[in-house]
Amino acid sequence: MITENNKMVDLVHKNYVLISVFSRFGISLGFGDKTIREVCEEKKIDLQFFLEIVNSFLDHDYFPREQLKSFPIRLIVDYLTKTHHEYLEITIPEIERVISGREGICYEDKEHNFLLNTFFQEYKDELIAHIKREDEQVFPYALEIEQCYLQKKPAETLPDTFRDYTISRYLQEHDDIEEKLFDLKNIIIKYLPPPKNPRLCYQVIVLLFNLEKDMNDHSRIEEKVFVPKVAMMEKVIGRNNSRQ
Amino acid sequence: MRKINFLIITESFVYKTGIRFLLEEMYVTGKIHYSEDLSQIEKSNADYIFVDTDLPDVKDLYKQIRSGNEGVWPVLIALIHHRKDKDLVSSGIFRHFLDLSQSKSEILHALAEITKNSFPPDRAPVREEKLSEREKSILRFVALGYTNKEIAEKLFISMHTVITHRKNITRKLGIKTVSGLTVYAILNQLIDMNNVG
Ligand SMILES: [Fe+2]
Ligand SMILES: [Fe+2]
Repeated sequence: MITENNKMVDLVHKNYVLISVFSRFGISLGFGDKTIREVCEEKKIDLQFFLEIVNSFLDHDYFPREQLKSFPIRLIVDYLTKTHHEYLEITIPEIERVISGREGICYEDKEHNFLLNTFFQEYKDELIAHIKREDEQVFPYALEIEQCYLQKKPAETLPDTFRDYTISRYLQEHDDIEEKLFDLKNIIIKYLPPPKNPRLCYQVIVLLFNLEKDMNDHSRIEEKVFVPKVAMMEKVIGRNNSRQ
Repeated sequence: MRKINFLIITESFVYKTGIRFLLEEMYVTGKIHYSEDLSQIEKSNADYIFVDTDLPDVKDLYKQIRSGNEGVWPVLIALIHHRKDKDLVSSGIFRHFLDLSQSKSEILHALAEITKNSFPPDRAPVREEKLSEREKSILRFVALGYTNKEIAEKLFISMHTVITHRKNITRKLGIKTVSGLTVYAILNQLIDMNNVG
């Protein structure tokens, strides 16, 4: 388990994928021998929140649901939003370059390139729609609920746009965005022939595995931390969860 | 074949997790239960029970054995720390010993030896991955965008059957989504790319 006195550099040695988690907190490399506590103080990051996110990322058995739920929605939403941003602005374009860029994977048979491309574009559109709904609808709703909850205002004071929304509806509609990613991996590993530039396949597989791991972690926070927390606040301010 | 069932009786976290780790390498499909309580031996329906010989009331087992209960018990395996400990527990209740001071490969080997007759390890299961003709025809419809209901009507089978077939197709191919299945169908000439809308 990671504690505040561990050095940042040791975290990276433990699992370098954490570097992308750091960036969501505004931490970049070059931290010398600084400990987690020092870096968090410097960057004004909530130390406990950072620790829980890192620990649950490293070890899925370590999932401090109750602790994570104690953090304000604002913090959780901020982390999730930054993750979305990273997916759309960095990770997906990175994968796209290798899959369909000029210098990307190239098959003998043009049809194979076309199939891979189309499948990836479809995945990308789905992901964009998924994220858009969370950023523009679900998260603002959750923040409003938190305001009501903190200021002890009744549910009737919610803005009109959110009158009929409930977090249980979000949970019902929350589709599994990792499924297509899973397929994409197998299509490249199992079903397409070897491309003319096999090294690129290796590159894209690494990117896909990392993204999948990260997305599993992300969805888990959404469903197991974010949703229960909002549902609890809905209840307190007197919103009936069964109303659809 | 029936799944193999294990019970590990110990108070030690390290024994518990260590043995689970090894068993999971050998048996992908097995079930592992834990207990700290020796009286579970009589109630358990496990095929093999690992018993921590450091548990305080392990000696009571010997008394029970004398009262003639042995026949109905599953196979008991004593967890020992060194070969010489074998003598300490060689009273007949334990059919096998697992020496925890050994290396990983030795322990895996010993475990395989213990279970080989009734439950050969399924570490490398030979799974049937080829699609049946029925599955292929269902896959064709799925790839062309038909719903489960439409497929059921076309093939004169129940929705339930269609869903079962689809689950099997997904398991065999490692592909979960409709568009993924479409790509597979095109790559394997089950459908023509021009037919896809
Ligand atoms: Fe999300
Ligand atoms: Fe999501």
